[in-house]
Amino acid sequence: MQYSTTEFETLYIKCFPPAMRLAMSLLHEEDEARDVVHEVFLKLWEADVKVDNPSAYILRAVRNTSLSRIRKLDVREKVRLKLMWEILPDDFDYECRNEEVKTAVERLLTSREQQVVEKIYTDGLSYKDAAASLGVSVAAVNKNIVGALKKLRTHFKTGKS
Amino acid sequence: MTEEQKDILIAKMLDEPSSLSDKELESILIDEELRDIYEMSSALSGAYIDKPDFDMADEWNRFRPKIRRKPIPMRWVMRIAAIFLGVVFVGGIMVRITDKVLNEPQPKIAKVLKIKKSAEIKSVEKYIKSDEIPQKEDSKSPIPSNNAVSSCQHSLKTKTFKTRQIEMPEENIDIDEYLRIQQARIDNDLAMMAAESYIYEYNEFLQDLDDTDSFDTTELDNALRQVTIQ
Repeated sequence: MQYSTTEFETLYIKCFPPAMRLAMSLLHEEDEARDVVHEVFLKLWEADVKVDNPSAYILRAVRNTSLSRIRKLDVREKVRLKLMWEILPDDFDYECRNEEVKTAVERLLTSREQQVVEKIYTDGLSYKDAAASLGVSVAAVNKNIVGALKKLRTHFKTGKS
Repeated sequence: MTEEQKDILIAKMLDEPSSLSDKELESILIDEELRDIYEMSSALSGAYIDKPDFDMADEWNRFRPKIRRKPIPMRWVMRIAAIFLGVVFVGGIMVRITDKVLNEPQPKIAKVLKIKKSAEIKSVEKYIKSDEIPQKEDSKSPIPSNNAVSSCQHSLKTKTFKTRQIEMPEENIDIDEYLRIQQARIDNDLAMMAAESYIYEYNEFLQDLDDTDSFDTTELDNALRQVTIQ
């Protein structure tokens, strides 16, 4: 049995935002993420059966499709997009990891380091633009970001071990 | 690799990844600290990437044209049509058979069908088989009496096509066999009628001879030959 158009629209409106957030977390590009989400919804539409838990099904499918696309990229492309090198397990909770990272940033980093992180990772600015935006030198931006990453690495490395 | 070299490499990796050479990329992959920092940078990117609130009406309108119902494959239509026609065909045959059995009880071909021959036909057959000429009542003259002739005339007048029934084997036979038998019966009836006619003409001829004084055997022989040829 297929979804009616009305049913599917309701499902789409409900599940699209979390699916899109997950895809963007993994792929770091909005257009690529939207393409993955559309592909997953299209497969669900064309399937002849209704799934029991559509929300979970869609999120799982979005994660698998995204990781499949990441695997096909070469190292240089991954570095360009700041994508993961190592593919994490299927049951890895990306939403939970994102919350942990944000909490660690607020707890461990100085306000300047947090500002630099926000300019570079949220706004997507280059070192030069971030330095100009914050009124500091490029070297200062580099020092803050490298320091922030080392603190976070130590934190999660210790936490893991 | 010194700490200063690592910091330069990290800065390049984060700020200008496109400018990394293959050797620098390999160095990042080999060095555990650099790899971990890269993974941390990736995690930060995933956590802090701007995820705007989506305008769902706009998103749905963007996705809506992509969906459409798959047409039913043609082979399924053909299969369903074939099944439907098969059911109708078999149903029609069953109805026909049932109707024939219940409403039109056919005489069982296999049963013994009895023939009822008239006495006239029997007598004619007797003449044919024995090649005898019917005797007069006084049994002195070889020419049949008027009574015998009139009997034959009556026979011809009253003789009609009757459904002659013959004994059939007990086992069931098909319709073709049945039709062949019926045709043979009709042919036989026609032959019998023709024989009766010849006998009647022959008797009349003998009667004419009896009425005349002169008797020409040649004429009789020719007439008999003609009848035989016919």
